Amino acid sequence: MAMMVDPPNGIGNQGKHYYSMWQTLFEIDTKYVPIKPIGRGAYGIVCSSINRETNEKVAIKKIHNVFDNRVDALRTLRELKLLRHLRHENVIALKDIMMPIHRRSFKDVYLVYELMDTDLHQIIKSPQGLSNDHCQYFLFQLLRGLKYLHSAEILHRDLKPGNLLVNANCDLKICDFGLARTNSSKGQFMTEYVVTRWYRAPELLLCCDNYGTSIDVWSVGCIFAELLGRKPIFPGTECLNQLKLIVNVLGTMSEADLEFIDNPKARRYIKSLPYTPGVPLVSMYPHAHPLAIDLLQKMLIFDPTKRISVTEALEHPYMSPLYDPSANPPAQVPIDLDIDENISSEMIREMMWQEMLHYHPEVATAISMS
Amino acid sequence: MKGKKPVKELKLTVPAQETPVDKFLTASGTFKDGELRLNQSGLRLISEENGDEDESTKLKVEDVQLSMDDLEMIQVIGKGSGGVVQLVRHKWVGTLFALKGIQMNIQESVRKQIVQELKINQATQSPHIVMCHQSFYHNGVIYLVLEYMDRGSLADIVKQVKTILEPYLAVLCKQVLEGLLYLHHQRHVIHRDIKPSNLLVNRKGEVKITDFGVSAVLASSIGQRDTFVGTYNYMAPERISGSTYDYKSDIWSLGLVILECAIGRFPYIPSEGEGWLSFYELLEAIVDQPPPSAPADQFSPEFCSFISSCIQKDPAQRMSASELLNHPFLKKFEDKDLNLGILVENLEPPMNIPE
Repeated sequence: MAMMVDPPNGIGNQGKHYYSMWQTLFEIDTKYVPIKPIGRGAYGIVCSSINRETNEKVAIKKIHNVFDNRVDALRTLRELKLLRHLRHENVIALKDIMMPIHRRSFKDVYLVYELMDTDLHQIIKSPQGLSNDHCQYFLFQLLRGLKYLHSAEILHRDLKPGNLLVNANCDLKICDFGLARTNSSKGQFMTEYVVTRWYRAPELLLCCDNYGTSIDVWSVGCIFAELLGRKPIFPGTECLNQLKLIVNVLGTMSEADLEFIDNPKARRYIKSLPYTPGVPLVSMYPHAHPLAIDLLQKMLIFDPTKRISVTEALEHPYMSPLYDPSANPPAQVPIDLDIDENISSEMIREMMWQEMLHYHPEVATAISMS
Repeated sequence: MKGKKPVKELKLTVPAQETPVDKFLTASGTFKDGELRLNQSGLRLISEENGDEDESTKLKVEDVQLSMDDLEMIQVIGKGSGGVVQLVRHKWVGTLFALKGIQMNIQESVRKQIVQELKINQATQSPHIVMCHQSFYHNGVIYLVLEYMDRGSLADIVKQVKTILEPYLAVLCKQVLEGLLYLHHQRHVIHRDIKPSNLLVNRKGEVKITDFGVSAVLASSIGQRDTFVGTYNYMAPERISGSTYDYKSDIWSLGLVILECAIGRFPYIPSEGEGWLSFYELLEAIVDQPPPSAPADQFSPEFCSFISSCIQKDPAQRMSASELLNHPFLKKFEDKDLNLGILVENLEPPMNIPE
């Protein structure tokens, strides 16, 4: 449970109160009352809270010493910039960023998200039964959220069950945009490595320089398979092992299937793998609906140019009970997400501050009048 | 909800916490598996006869002095495979440690491996392996209290000095080989990730091997966001090509590390400075082409022979750790009073520690 404590050194800051959770101090705006810690992510600790002004439940994520690691700081900044613009029922909403007291020396960042009950990773490994209706509905929401993102030219680039939050009523929201990019990043070579290994598309494993929205579709296919089978479909231990597991299931590729590989050495490598006939998906998931198998097959196409797109997936017969094309408008405007990878830590800090001001117009007003 | 047809009333039973936790977690937060108990107080092995949690058969005296509450965090040192590493100080004694936190994975097969590795960690006693003083379990994270090596890693050192002379390389090799001998012949484990950043150095000039066991298990088990760059650089050809591999795969890795320190660049980078090979070019170079060698016009015959003995593509042709310890290259400098401390004392420490 969250425990209210005295401020460190006995000196509190105005408008803040202090709670200890999992031996971590939370310095948060007084309108939020913590309930309990609910998770520890790769970059911070999360607690559930109530917003006393609105009586709504939220999740507060504390990112401790955000500037210690420049790569992580950039990811945090990128997520803040992106989430400010995204408004979709299948994308997590960032409701607030608490203003720190010291503009030029703050170390921690407190992010306020809408509260979800759990994530798909927890569901998949729990005893909870998942019917075809569950799988269908989860997949539909994931594809719908992804269609919104792709219509804004945004690649998520790290889709996996742990990044899909769900509620008891089966609502699903995509989260963790720290690795997201626009599909047409201006002049910046996308050298950053993306996607957690098990959900990584073949074109990434084969070092293809140009990749697009199809990498997210591959990840969706892996997640869909995991919903059906309750365990990862390609649990590779290393990148090359990952590639072998994929080939073992899909079978040895024909020449035409390998034309997309622009690196001749990579192409030679994939051809050097021993022949395998592959494993039919229907035998891997004997209880799955036939239309689910058909759609999964189209998502797990090795060649990204032949892989089904998000829109095509929504139009697939498996989605027809749920998908209404007229009810899913695209995102309004392309979002300028590009951040110069070489900006200084001070510039990152300043840009974070600017993001915070968007959630605190009263502070922006006070600053402009002073 | 939007949609063509109204969605049926779908429900989920939201897991109150990760299930089934009672198989390995007690109500008070102790991680348990067989005779192993791990919590904020440390790691204990319970005797099987009575199974009483309060009794312990192997509690070391020094471990009584160390608990998580005794450690204060100074700063993050780095993020290694599977975990975050913090520099911490003992509040009463002032000793510095590296505290590595690794998110626990509850998949049964992985948990068994973690338990096995924790036992190895507890038993590991070699002056050439980074000491694990204690381990803890707290709120889903396993913590390892590791010996702090204040000069950082070999990677940090080579960034500053570019190349290391043969006499110092001999001292370095001897220490790492002693560590590998211990791992291979007494603990019967393959390290699997020998590379410059996993060979740590202190101001006394001691070199110790780190980053195996728990963190290595976790790195492969949770589908880490890893990359090609660096992952395969030091991996033996038989392992890359998917064949079975054994202790001698670590020897290949060591050979490449030493050659890199000698010539000032990773051996598979073209000397013309064209930049990095793409991954698949590197793969082809390692698996299909002859191994790199030390240039005979720049290095002694003993050194060239030592490198060649380490990086034979056929593991059967590679020397073992014990054989290499008797190699003429090491024998050549055996009687000289050489100390890596002389080399590292002039270098900048990897970071400044607030006093």
